[in-house]
Amino acid sequence: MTEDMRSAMENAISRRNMLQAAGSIGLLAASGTFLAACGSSSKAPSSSTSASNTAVDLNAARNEGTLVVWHSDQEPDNVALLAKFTAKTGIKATEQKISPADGLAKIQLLERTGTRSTDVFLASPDVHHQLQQKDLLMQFAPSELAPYEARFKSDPVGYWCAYFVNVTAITYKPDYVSADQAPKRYEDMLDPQWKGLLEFAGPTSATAFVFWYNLRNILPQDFWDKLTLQRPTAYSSSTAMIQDLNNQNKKIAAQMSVFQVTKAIRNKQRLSFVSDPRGMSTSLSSASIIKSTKRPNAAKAFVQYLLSEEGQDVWNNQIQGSYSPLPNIQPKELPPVSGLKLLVPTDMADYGSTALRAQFETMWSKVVGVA
Amino acid sequence: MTTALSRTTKFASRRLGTRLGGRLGLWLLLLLLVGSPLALLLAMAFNTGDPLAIPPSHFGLSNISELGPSLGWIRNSLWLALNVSVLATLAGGLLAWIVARTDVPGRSTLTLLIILPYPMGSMVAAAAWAILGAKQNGLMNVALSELFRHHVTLVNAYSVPGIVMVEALVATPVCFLLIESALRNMDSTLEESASVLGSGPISTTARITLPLMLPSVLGALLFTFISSMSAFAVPSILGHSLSFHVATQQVYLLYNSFTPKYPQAAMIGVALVLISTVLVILVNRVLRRRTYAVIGGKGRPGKRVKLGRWKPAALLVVYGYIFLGVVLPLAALITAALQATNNTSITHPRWTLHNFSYVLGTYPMTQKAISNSLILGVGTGVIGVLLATAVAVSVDRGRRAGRRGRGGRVMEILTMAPQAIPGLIFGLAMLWLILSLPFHLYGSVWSILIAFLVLFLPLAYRTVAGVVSQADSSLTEAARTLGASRATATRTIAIPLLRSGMVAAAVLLFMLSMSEVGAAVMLSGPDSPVLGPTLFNFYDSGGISLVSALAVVQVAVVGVAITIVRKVSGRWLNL
Repeated sequence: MTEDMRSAMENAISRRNMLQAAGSIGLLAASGTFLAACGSSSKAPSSSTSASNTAVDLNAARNEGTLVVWHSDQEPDNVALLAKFTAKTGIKATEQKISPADGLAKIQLLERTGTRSTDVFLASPDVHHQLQQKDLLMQFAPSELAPYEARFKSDPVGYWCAYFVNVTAITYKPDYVSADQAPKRYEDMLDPQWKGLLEFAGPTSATAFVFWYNLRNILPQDFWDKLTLQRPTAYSSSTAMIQDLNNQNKKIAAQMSVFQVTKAIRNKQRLSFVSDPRGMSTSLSSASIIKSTKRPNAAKAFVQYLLSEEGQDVWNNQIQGSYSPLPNIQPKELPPVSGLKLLVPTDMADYGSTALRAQFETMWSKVVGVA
Repeated sequence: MTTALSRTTKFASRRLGTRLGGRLGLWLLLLLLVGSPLALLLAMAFNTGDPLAIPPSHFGLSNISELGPSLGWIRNSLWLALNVSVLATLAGGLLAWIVARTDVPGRSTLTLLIILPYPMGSMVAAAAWAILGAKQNGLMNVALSELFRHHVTLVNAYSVPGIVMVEALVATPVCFLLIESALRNMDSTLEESASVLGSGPISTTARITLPLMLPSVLGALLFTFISSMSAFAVPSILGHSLSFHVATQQVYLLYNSFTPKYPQAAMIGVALVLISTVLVILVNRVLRRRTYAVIGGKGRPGKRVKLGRWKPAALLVVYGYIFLGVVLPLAALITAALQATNNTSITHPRWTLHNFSYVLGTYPMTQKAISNSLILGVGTGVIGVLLATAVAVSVDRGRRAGRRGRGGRVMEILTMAPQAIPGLIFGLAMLWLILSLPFHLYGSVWSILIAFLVLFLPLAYRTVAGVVSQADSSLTEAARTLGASRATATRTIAIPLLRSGMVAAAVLLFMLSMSEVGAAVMLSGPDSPVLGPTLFNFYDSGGISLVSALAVVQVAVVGVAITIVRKVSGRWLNL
């Protein structure tokens, strides 16, 4: 094997051959495009809108096959949720972790080519708003949605609904940063002592976007330029943020989801957060059903379960540890949500605007040094 | 006599017809599997219209100018690739010389241990060094600090040198394999002549051995450089807290953007492919200026250098690499996997078996990912080798036919083209191809199998091509002329001749398939989880203790699988 691998490197490839290959590939560009055209033109996504607002048939749901749930939650959390759902309903379910933006693009791409994507999509309202505008979501409004405030669900009702309130906070490990030393307000993060030690979410993250969206009119105009000079670091997940706080690579997580605090307390670890009196940036994580789902009954059964009081208790109190949109569900590890000032986007047309998001991604890439 | 002549003519024309048919089929297959994704990648790179359109409808050059902001990332990729390739080639070359040309004991075992980091994969290495090499709380630094009673920072894996080191540790086995083989097979006559004429060992090494090794050293350098340009897992895990980002991370960001930027991602891919192509041409120009005919199978095998008092130093080098590449990472992963929290500690540990019970029992994807990876490994190994052998035979026949064999040369270039494409970008192109097909493959293991077959085809082809070129096809032809059927001639003559190369290629593909992340992350779905992407996703949301447990399971699976394959095919392998 070794000798043959060596010969792979020694084999001369002439420029003429390269040009010949480039020519072949060029010719293939046309054929590939043609092939793709044939493929895409021959397929069209079908929908199952007929089932949209009808009652859930559990027997039918059990026979529809394994429900697919795309989500961007912590994988073990979602696995635990699906296990509870299956235990209660007898409906099999599987999950795939995917970022909301990736999921948004992939669903559109797959729908265009007539390929099934997922049955249930757990993402954020801005992403769901985009899909709702493109008529890719099923409208399903069970009675479980009634107790939810209007700001937690789509307009018209039934396209998506929040299943947890993702409050983010300035977070630190008291083992390495004292309470006195920790920032109390957002501007305190501009102190030179935190230069190179701040953690933020990346430019494609909904958490980072909602942070900027909520605070852009509250914080001074030059806050973002000054923040850039602090050389903050972008992370793809709060788990990676925690890892670096543990390693002492970083000291302050500026946009940590508070469920990480719940988890830390459950694991007997120390993690503290502060609440800026002007408000805590909050995003919603929402659930929707893809219109072209092959498993409409199973998808509706899952959404119904997740948004029910029982499902909310399971998810927020027993599994993940976030605040629920339902006021009577409150993780015991966290302070009462009524005592916090939450900044939640409500104007979905503005919040879900593609142009605004593109503007943010460019700006935030510079702030966190990934431009 | 006329009848006999007529029979021979009929036989010859039937054989020619079968060959032409087979060759046409092979061309079509290669054009579909290799040419189509490359064509789609090119088309997407110049797509100026709807980024989600398959196929694109508007073309232009504006995406080239959008490469501007990515130039820094591409420069970082080149810088990383240069450092990793030089370091890995030096380390691999030194290890190869010690194992192949000196009298160190236990060469077979040492060879196996040296190559182990390669199938373990860069994802596992990155996770392990994240535990070992954190500046403050890394296990190595903590252990040394405990030993010396004050804080010691020996290693900082979360740094650019740290990323280079980890990438180089993973890349070293390939360089070792490439150079060791050449050293082992080198004709020692010239070295001995130099010694007889009074040249010392250092002078002989510098003036005889190294120049003779130039093709394999440059080959190793080039291969590692191109592979390292595609580095994704290590920079993503160890480099996220730095302002050091590489091109593949930019591709991943563009891919994950809220407003999809597939054309810009494809353009970065095209830029990397162009850089790789230029490098291949440059290296081949250097090699073509000289002849290296002294490296072959006809000379006497080299006499092993007696190290004498230098033997402990040589063994220190070998065991040092094994310690850094295998022992330490595995120890770190096992330590982290046995802890109750993600804050891995050796001073205040909270031991538990929960993480293993979770990944082996509770987490439903583990078993699926293991079985899918094994299926993919075997499938890629078997089908990939058959495909590579068919291409190699076809190219070899074309080459023997002289000028008429130019088509074979183009076929070879097409076969080798995926070597220059980073896995992540190739995965993107394959996604577009899979979605373009008139039947649904997305989200199935088959889509990943196709991607792996194409992605690893260059290595499989090169591994098999060497054996094919050495095998004398006149033996098969003689058997057929004497009345043997095609199947009999293939079974009794051709396959035994090619067996060693085919088995070696299959093992190589199996190892690569088990740890591939870049292409699989684009194509795997909930029904087709595989180990590489599962580990990558788990890193983002499971925490280091669960990641470590899964990584240990992956290493165990890979280790057991390779041991079984070695047992089964050991007598044909060099491993």
